[in-house]
Amino acid sequence: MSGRSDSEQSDGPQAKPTSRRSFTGALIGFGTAAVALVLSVPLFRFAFYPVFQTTAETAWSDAGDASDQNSMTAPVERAILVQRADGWRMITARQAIYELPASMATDGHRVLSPVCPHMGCEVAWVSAQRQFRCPCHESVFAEDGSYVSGPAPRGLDYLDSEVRDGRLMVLYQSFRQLVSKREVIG
Amino acid sequence: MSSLKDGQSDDAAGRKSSPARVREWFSRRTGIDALLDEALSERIPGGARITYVFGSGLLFLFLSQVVTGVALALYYVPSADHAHTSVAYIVKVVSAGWFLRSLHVYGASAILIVLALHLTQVFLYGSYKGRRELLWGAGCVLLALVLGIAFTGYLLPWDQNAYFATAVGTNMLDEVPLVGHTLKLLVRGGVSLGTLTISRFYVLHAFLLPAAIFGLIAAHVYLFRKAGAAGPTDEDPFTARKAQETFYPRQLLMDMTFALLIMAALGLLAYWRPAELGTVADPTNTQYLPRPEWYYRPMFEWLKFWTEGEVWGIVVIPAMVAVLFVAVPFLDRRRERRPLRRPVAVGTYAAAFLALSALGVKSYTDDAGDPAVALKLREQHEATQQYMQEPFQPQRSGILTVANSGAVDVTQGKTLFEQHCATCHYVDSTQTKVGPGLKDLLSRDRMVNGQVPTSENVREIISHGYQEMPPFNDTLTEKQIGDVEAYMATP
Repeated sequence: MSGRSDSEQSDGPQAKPTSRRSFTGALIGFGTAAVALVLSVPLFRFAFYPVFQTTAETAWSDAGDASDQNSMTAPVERAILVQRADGWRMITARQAIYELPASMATDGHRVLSPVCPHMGCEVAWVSAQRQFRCPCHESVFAEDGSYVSGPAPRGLDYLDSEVRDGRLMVLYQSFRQLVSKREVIG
Repeated sequence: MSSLKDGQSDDAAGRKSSPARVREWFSRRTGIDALLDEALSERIPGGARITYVFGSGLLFLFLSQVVTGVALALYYVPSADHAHTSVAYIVKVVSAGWFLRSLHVYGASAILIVLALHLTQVFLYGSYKGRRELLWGAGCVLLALVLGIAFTGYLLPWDQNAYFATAVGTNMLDEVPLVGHTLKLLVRGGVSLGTLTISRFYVLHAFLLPAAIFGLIAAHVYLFRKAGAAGPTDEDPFTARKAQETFYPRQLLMDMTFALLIMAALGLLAYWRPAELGTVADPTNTQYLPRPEWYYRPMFEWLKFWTEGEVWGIVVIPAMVAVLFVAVPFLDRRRERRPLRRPVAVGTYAAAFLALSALGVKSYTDDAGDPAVALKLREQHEATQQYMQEPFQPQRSGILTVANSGAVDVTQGKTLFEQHCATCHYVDSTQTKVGPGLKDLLSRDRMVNGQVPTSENVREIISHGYQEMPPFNDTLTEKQIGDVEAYMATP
């Protein structure tokens, strides 16, 4: 040990034969990289857990007594309660929906999500113009939810709904923003 | 030192591969090569040794705690209502959560073990001699900070053991003369242990103490490099005379091997024996036998001796030992470093170490020797294991909005209460029938499970039961549970 130390002391680390030195360096580097790699697996899985989670199935929400759709003249905003998992909690979140008059419900889709397909702000019904207007980037939608103008890539998304025993039931879902086709993401 | 490298780069070396050029570009702007040279060329009188690996082992473990700790903070919530659920979520639901938490829990123990080894090596080698008083002092402060960070971290899961260990630990502060009581209120965030205690401990554990430890590690390493490595015991503590070897490569290789062994040991332990989480803290469970982690067992046993004059046992004697400990380099000033020629210093250290070990061992043998205690501890451990087997129960929140929507029916709630609850509970009295009386339940500070009696928490107990009380989420709908809760809330 002392013999080698002597040579190091006089010439400094640069004087060591490079082959052995770089071998040790490579060994240390490789060891470090290997440990980092092994450890990063659980860390990655842990941090990315929510990404790989399959979305919890959404339950139908009761939106209250179904209105007489034929007598409605304009979309009506309703609040529904949606049960869903939120991390370690089971929560009941309040969400807004629009129920459409029969005359405006294309293909029988009587419920619209108020979430703008552009950036996700919630659109407001402006009765004076009979339009839905997004408060954020000024996208405009017709009374049946179809696209009129602004940066939104498509019209408002319909939500699956049905009437059971006189109650309006809604399947509340979220849709991908910024694409031209309706695509359920959870 | 590396100006040599910088200077020769352009002309002497001629054409270079692109990685080398990138590296050089980077090095010229950051000085990273000079820094690395400085770090790696630390001179060790007498050469590299296995016994010198503990210091960097501690640094490695600390970094591992930081990484796993930051990861845990992604899911942990520091509040009495949610702490236990969020840790259960980490352990039972999140991918690799059980593994990372185990690394963090066992990492804490590993730090204490390696710290003891580091301290013993430094003491036996007399490495605190030769203008190293501040280096030693910084190490002493680090030891205190490590004990503090272990203590504050222990509360955070808010399980039974955590709760009572912290109750005892913070009550000890009362013995500090003059400011003791104020100190206790400050640390707890009030008279009793609760949600403010968790926030305070969390801030200490995750922000203040780690910052202080980072700072002191920097000071400790700086002072170490300033004084130089002390070398073997027959080296002069002031002026190193032995032949020197640089830190790189052999000492670095030993340090890295040691770090690798620690990591492997922690990983295997975490994999085969994942750290446990007990049932949620329940202050009303007077039958519970709390026991601290192994490194606090000597202190735990020590407290049993002080049936009177506790101020001596809790404050005076520990403070004297601490002062004596910090003063070691001032008291032991001779140049002599060989342990066998320093009988007083080494003898005192050995005696203290043995006394602590004996206290710790006695604590365990006392427990094992008392059949009732041993049985109770075994039962508690079985309960913990059973809890670990149970699937995760999400906490229900926000159901309040259902009640606010005007849907609750108090009359219906009264009927349901009489059918399902009145067998065990009085609704108009605080007297215990089978379970506790429920009069004014919602205006109390705490329920029997230690939680604040919010509407949600009351529904939670009705839904999932508590101790002998069965869960009612099979029998009653959510709406009916809301009605019962509304009935109880009605004066």
